[in-house]
Amino acid sequence: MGYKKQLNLCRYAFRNVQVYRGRTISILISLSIIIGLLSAVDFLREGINQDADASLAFAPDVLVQGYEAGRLVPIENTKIAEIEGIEGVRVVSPRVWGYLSAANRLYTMMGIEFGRYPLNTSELAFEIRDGRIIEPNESHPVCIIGSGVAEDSSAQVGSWLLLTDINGVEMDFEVIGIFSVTSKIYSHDLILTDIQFSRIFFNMDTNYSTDIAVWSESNSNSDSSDLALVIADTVDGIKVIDKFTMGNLIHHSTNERAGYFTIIWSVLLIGSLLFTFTISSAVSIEARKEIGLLKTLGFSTFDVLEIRIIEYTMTGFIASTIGIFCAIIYDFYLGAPILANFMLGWSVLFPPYILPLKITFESLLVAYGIGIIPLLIGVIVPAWRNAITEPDEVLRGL
Amino acid sequence: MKDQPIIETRKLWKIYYAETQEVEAIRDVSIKIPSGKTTCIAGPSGSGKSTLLALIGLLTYPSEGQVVLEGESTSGLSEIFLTKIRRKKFGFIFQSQYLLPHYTSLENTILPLLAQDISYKDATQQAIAVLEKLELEERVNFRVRQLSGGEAQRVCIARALVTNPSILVADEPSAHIDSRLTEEFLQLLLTLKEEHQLTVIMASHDPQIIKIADKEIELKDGAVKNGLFSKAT
Repeated sequence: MGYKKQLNLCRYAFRNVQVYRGRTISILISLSIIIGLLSAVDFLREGINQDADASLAFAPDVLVQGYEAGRLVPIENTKIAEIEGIEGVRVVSPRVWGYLSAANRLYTMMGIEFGRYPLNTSELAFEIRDGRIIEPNESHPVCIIGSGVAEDSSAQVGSWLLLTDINGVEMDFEVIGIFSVTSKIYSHDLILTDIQFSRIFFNMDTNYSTDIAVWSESNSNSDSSDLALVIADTVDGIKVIDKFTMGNLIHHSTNERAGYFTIIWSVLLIGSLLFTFTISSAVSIEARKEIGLLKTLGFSTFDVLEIRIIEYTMTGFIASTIGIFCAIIYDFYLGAPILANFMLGWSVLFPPYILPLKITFESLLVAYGIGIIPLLIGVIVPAWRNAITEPDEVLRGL
Repeated sequence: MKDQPIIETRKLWKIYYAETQEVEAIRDVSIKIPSGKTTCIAGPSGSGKSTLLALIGLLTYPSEGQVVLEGESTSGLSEIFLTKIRRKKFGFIFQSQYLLPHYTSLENTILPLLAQDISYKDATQQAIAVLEKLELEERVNFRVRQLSGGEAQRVCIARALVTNPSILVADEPSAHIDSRLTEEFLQLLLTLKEEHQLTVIMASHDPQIIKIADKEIELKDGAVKNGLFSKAT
């Protein structure tokens, strides 16, 4: 088949998309909404998972928490020596951390042993953007804050933050550094201080910590998991969780929430398909007669199908592009209202920030695939049925 | 060779099935359509005129019998071959015009050329030339709904002639136009027939059309009423 004829068929299909505006717009609207919803959830899911992966770089290989009477409790610092004695353990460092609220936003203050706690992981891309890192034995309460926190609070190096704990106890911290990290959540949420100050702030007994961070000598996930099991077997009254399991929990939670949306989205997709099938099926006398006319004028069955395929591939492509574009605006620029709370968890009051979003090739492929393939199926079947009917019968409406 | 019919039907039958009922739309029709002449298939409504025209125009398969085109039987030819023959040999004018209402005169006229391997530019030039010949140059970019009945009919003729067919098939061409426009249409058709050496086959019970035909074939209840060559050719 000559290329000039192909171009002619394309031109006719493009013109049909323009000319039959009502048909095109109704499909575009319904399909764009579905693709927009799908993409908004998917971009957010990918982004949160990516952010979770980045934040895991901050996490130790194994976290050890106190466990008593079936619930988590502060852990005794005597456990540190016990854990250090286990083979394969590289670093053991206690942490005292908790949440503090300011201006209806929830921040995390984490007290760690600076100089001992391995912070500078390349994966986390932890970097002091301004000021300096905290040194051991600082003379007064100091902190370093994430760049997002600095933006939210307009704090700079040298500023003093009057922080209030959940019980209403106030304490001044001098901001001596601003750090940037790959994780947007950490950047907008985390205030780092020395463990001695967080212990005072959270009124934690010096013999206790919130949890104990453990790093293994090996970098492999399976070794971390094995080490976690050994620690759990060796030390009494504790609960352990390894980095690999932490990551899985976050991913599972995010994917499960995205899954609920997938169910809603699937119902909408089926509805849209039925709608498309109806308007493009034999019910549409105009479309049927058009096919009969084309066949009479010398178009073959394949030509007719090709026209319809081009026509609806283009419609599906435009609908997908509009949907993706709307999803980007909704997610990136509007902060995904409602959806973000659902995906991150309703109970958590995060500081306002643009959510971590990620657009992958796979997400785009799925969006375009869902926008085009089912549409083609919904259209090709009735078009094929009309195209294989003798033109005389189609034209006479038999 | 001069007297050889361009189309011949041999014992042609067309049976439709309406639910459980058989409808014999065409019954044992054997006719010859002379080349370069105007043939009118006449008869009352429901006599099978349009069905016979559809069979002659290769728009449908006969239930039995053969359609012979330029001495070659078309029986057993696949849909693809019939489409190619239709594209090359036939121009169609329909009872209900079947112009695409959202498209312009030019776009409607160009339609049969899009199924051929010619550039859109050449196709446009060819279509405009035909529209000019039919005095529609001022209406080239008018949409069908903006045209008068007579202009729309001329667009139909332009579309039928744009591929330079050798056979023009017209089904009830005067069905939706008044007698003055029918007269104009017929004059135009005769002129074009001479210019393009066309064989014209029309189905109609309009006396104006029957009058100008070189040959009349009358159908009744799907069968030829008056046998071959009822009118001197």
